[in-house]
Amino acid sequence: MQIKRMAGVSLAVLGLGAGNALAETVELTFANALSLPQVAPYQEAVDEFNEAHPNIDVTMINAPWSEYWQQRQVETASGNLPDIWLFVPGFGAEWLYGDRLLPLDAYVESDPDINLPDANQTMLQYMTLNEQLYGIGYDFNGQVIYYNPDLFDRAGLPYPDEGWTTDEFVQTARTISETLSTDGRKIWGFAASNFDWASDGWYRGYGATLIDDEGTYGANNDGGITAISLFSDMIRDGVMPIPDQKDASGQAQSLFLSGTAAMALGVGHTTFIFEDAGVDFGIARLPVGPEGQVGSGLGGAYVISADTEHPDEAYEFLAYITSGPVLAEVVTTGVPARESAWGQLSDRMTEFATKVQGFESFNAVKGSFQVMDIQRRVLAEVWNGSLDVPEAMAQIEEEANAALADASAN
Amino acid sequence: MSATTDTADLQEEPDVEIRKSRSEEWAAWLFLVPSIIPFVVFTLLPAIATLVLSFYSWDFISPPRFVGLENWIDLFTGGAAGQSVIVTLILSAITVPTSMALGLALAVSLDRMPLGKVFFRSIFFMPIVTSLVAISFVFGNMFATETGLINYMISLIGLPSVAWLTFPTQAMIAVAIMMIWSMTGLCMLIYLAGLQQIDDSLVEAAYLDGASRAQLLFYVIRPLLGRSTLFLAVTQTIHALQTFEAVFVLTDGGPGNATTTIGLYIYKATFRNFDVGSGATASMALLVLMLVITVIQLRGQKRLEHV
Repeated sequence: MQIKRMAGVSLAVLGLGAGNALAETVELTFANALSLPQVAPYQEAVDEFNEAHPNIDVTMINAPWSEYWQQRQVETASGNLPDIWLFVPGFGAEWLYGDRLLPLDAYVESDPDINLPDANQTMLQYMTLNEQLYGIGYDFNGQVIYYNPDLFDRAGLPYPDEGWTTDEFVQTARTISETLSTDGRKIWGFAASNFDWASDGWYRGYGATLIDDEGTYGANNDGGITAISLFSDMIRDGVMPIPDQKDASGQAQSLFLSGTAAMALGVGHTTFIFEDAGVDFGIARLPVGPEGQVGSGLGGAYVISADTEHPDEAYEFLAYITSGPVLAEVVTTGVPARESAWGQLSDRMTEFATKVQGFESFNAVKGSFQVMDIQRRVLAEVWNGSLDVPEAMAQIEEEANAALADASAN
Repeated sequence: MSATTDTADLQEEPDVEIRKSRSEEWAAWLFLVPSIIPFVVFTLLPAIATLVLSFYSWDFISPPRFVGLENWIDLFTGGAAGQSVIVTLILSAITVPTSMALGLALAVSLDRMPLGKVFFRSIFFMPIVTSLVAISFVFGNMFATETGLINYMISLIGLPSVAWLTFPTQAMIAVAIMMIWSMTGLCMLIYLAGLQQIDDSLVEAAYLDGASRAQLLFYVIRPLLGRSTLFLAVTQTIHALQTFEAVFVLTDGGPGNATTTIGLYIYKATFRNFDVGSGATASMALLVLMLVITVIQLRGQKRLEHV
C-alpha cells in the first residue's frame, strides 16, 4: 500500500515537472515549400536554432509548392496558420491585404542586428504595406536571357552587351534562326519561359504595366500591345516556338540544352540547371525597351501570422532564418535576399545575381495572381494565332479588372 | 390457473419480441456507427456546407458574403463554370464510348487467343494500376510540339508536326487519347470477365443455327454482355466526369478554357482564384450530374434483371 502511495506521489511530481517544462518551452511551426535538396540545409538551420534556444522549439513543416497555398488557405479558414511561413508577393496578397500578417516594425526598430540595408530592397518594398513591414525576404529572382555562345559565333553575331535594346534582341533572334536553320534542323532564335509576373518588366520597358497604381490592368495600351507583339511576331515568323501550354520554362530549357535555341528566358534556378548540365552558356541582362530597362524582380519572404500566440519568439526565429549567415547556407538554388550571403554562390550564380539587381517590384495587389492566370490563359490563344494582340489585351483587361474588383470587394 | 398462466404467457411473448427486436435494432445501429460517423463527417456535412457555400462569396480569409443566386446564374449563363460543364460532357462523350468499344474489341480478341492471354491481359491492364499523374507527365512529354516523341514519329513518316497542346481541338484530342488509353484496360477486363461467363452451349447453338461471327457478336454476345456494358457505361462516365489529373498535368485546362473540366474548374476557382462560392457551385453541378448517372444505372439494372 505504501509502495503504491509512493509511486503515486512520484508520478504526480513527475507529471508536474513535465508540465512545467512544457509550459516553459514555446512551440512554433515554420511552414516551407522546399524541394528535396533544400530540406536538409533548412532542417540543419532549424536544429541549430533550437539548440541555441532551449526555450523555443521550432518544427518545420514542408509541402510541395503545388500544395503549399492550398494548405495555407485551409489553415486560414480553420484558424490554424503556422507561426512563421513562406510568403510570395502576389500569391499571398490576400493574407497581406487581409490583415493576417504580423507587422514587424516594432521588432525591427528594437533589433540592432537586423541590418535591413543589407537586405534586398525590392523584397522589402513588396513586404511593406501602408508603411508597415510584414516580412523579410530570403531570396530574390528575376529574368535574364541565357545565350548559346557557339550559335552566336556560327551566326557571326556579337554577344549581347549591357545596354542592348529590344530591337537588337529581336534582330539577333531573327538572324540566328534564319542563318542557322537548315531543312533538317530548326534553330530557334529565342525560346520564352513562363513570364507571369515578369511580364510586368517587359511592359514597363514599353511604358505599360501589369497592374497600375489604381489597381487595374495596365497593359491594354500601345506599350502593352507592342510588348506582346514582340513575342507573337517572332512566333508567327518561326523565330520562337509557341510556348508550351503547361511548362514553357521546361520547354525553353530543353531546347537550349539541346542546342536548338540560341537564347532562352530563364530565372535563377535555370543558371543552376545549365551549370549542372555542363553546357556552355552566357547570361545577358534583359534588353532595354524604348522606355528604359525592363525587368521585374520577385522572391520569397518569411512572415509571421498575425494571430500567433508567441510573436516575440516567432520574430526571433524570423530574424535568424533571414540573417546573412543562415541564408548563405540554406538558399542553395537561387540568390539570397541579402548581399552579405552571396559569398558561397558559384561564379555563374553571382553573375546571374548581378544581372537582376535593381529589378523593381510589380504591383502585387490582392487579385494579382488571378490576373496572371487570366493573362496566361488568354495569351495562349495569341501564341497559337487564334486571337490578335489588341483583341486579347482588351479581353484580358475586362476579365482582369473584374477579378481585381472581386478580390478587393472580399 | 392454467388458463391464467397461458394468457400471461401470451401477453409476455409480444413484449419479449418487441424487446428483442429493439435490442437487435440498437445492435444494428451500433454496428453501423463506424460507417455512419465518417459518412456524416466527411461526406454529408461537407456536401451540405458546399451547398450553403454556393450562395456565398468567400476567399478563405475575409468573412463569407451572401450573394444569393449569383454563382448559380454564372453557371447557367455560359460563364467559365458553365463552359467547364460543357467541356466535361464533350470529353465524356468522346472517351467513354471509345474506351468501351476498344475494350470490347480487345476482350473479344483475347478471349479467342490461344497463347499469351495472361501476358496481353497484364499489358492492357497496366494503365489502371499506374498513377494517372505519372501517365499525364509521360504523355505531356510525348505530346510536346518541339521535343515530343509523337511528333518525332510523325516526322519520320514525313508529316508535319502537330501542336498537340497548343490549339483547342488538338488539346482536347490529346487529352482524350490519354484518357482512352488509361480507361480501356478496365473495359477490357470487365468485358473479358463477361465473355468468360457466357455458356459455350449458347455460342455452339448459334453456330449450329448458321450464325456468322458478326451475327454471333451482335445478336448473342452483345445482349449477354448487357450488365457489363451498363456497369462500364456508368463507372466510366462517372470517372470521365471527375477528370482532373489528366488536364491538370497535361494542359492546365488550356489553351483558353478548352480543356477545363468541372474538376479542374473547382480546383482553380477555389484554390487559385480564392473564389470558394464558385467552386462550390460547380461541385454541386458535378454532384447533380453524377446523381443523374446513378439513377440511370439503377433503372438500367432493373431492366436487365431478366437478362
